[in-house]
Amino acid sequence: MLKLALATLNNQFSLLDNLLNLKVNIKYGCKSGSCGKCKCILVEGKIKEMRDHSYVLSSLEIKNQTILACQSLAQTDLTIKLIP
Amino acid sequence: MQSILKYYLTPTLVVIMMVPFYFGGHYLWFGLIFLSCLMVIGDAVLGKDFSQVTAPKNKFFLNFPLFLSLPLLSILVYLLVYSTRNSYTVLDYVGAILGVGLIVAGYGTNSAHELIHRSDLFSRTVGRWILSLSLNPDFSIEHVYGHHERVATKSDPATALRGENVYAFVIKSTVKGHLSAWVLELKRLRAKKLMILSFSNLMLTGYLMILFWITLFYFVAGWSGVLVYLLQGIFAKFVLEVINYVEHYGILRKENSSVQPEHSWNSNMKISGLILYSLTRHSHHHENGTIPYWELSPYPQSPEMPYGYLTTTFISLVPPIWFKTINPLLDNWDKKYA
Repeated sequence: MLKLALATLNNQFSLLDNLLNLKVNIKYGCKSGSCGKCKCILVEGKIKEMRDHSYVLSSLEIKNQTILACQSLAQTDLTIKLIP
Repeated sequence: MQSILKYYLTPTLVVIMMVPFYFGGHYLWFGLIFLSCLMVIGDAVLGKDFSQVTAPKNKFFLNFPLFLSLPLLSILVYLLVYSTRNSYTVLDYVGAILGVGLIVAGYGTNSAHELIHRSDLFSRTVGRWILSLSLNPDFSIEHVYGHHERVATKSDPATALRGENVYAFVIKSTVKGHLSAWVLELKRLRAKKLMILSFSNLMLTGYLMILFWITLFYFVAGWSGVLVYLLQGIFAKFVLEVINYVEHYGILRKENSSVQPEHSWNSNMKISGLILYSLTRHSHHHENGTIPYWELSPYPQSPEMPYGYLTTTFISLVPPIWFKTINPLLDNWDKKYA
């Protein structure tokens, strides 16, 4: 579980870029919202989808609050769970 | 500011290409010949350019030429359609259709490509309208969510396999790319619990955009107007697929390995990069598809296309010469990366 304060994030960049900047070990691939490698679970907080996540995520994943870090912008403090 | 002005070259070319429609007749070949000579000779003479623009804080003048392509190309296609009210020879119309199709692909599809990669709805919608001029409702879905994920693998319709002929590739990529876009769109609609028969379906609204042009051009010039719109669109789509062919020919990576700069053919030819809004810096684009065109890096170490974009495209149309040109480069690629 990873807690992120909004104040520590640069919202000009995606959640993935912020995590990489914070040296978090997260898997990623295309950075375009198409490969789905940067999937993680939003446990608490709100994000804005930069692009439609549903081309990549299934309805079950969407229901389970799975998000694409490369296409998410933090709107509040966040708690996320990385998918190994 | 001067460094940004260069990105207004392509819109200026479209305006220049409108002039022959005033004179008609054999002048309708002007656009095709002018654009081809400019790109082929321009690249041969001016060579490579590794520079990068220092972007100002306000990106308006960098974004504007992308959006400008929709009205400018709509006017150009309108002029083509309107010209069928005159009785020029079939040969004259062939020149006009090829010229308009080439710039619709070169300026239109490229601008649209940049816009559909963006995250705001307005940019993506304008991009989709531009793509409707080249009869391409699937590109905004398949390119972003299909091609970028599967590039340089056998499952990517837009990646040409070694030994594949360009004409067979164009048909394969067009058909499989279209079907793949449908699969992706249906998956999205299901995930979002949206109706297939609704305005939420981007494939259906893509068809409606094309229907809008068909209706408009029918009222402008009847069925002959519709025919030239469709023919220039088919040619523009053909050009896009040939460009896909030369950008990715013969390069494969392991499935599930991440996309690296060596997984596409890069080019830093000056005129190609200028007219095509740095699409030529393809290696960086595939590494990160969301980077705006003015920030794309030259990546001089990446595998390099043999010539400028249009020259390489022309060569690919003659398969024996293409294979003779590209095979030694692929041998080098194998030694370095395979």
